[in-house]
Amino acid sequence: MTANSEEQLLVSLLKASSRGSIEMTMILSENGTPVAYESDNKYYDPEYVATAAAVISGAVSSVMELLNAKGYKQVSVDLGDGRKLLIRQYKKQQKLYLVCLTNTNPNLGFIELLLEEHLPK
Amino acid sequence: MVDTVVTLSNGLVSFALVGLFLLFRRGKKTTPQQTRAEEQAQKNSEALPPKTGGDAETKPTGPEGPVRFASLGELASAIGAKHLILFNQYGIPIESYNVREGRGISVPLAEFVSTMRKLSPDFDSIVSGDGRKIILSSIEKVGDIEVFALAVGDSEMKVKADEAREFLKAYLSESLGRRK
Repeated sequence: MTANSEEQLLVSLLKASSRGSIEMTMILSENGTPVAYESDNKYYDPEYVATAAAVISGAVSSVMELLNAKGYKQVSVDLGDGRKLLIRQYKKQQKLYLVCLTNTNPNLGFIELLLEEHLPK
Repeated sequence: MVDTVVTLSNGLVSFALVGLFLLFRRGKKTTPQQTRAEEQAQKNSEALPPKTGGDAETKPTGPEGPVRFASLGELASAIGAKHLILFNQYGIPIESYNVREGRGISVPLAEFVSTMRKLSPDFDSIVSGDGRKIILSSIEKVGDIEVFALAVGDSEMKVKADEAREFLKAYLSESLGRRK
């Protein structure tokens, strides 16, 4: 993993500020390479998570192209156990994405506010 | 002699029962969370700036620097609100204190704000009576999300609506991990 201090600082800040609502957060490149990663759960493999997230974001981007849509702000995947996987474009030019995996009962209002505050406009 | 002793005992028992009843009622009214919040709020309220007349803008600072609230409960107690909820323009609750069914309150409030803005696009806040019992106000915009707050007090709040908004802004900044 090629951890950049700015990206690593961001994922750490997001997780620490989420009051326990975020279990895992990561920044990855378009091709599924993890750039920064933060999680207390040792069972998550950043490589696998990054690959899965890249596949999802790639599929959504293809659908957007088919629909002639300008783009998307966030992809939200509701997992069966109540957790949510949120994918947002982080830096468009560098084609980086931010992924958050929430806990089973997340405070989505606060998480979205955090992302809005800290992600570049 | 025996009669006197019996009378005294009855009096003591009655006194003890009244005492217990009062203690029970007091214990029932305040949850441990509220009590802790109120204790901390008391400390913070000592650090609040003295009230100034007129409409001068109030900075959320005390004699020893900015006033900080460790929780929304503390802030609620400091401003004298019994119920406090933060929510966004879509009616999604962000945080609340002493509010059950947050979404059941925030959704109609967001609809109310939206309706008011159709009638008056610059609608920003609404306060009841002298502005010290119920405050519904826009706090600030964070990116595309606008944060609103509803504060409801049992009686007069300790601060004016503008001051309450400043404290909520400061609390939000702290919660979001903004760098100074």
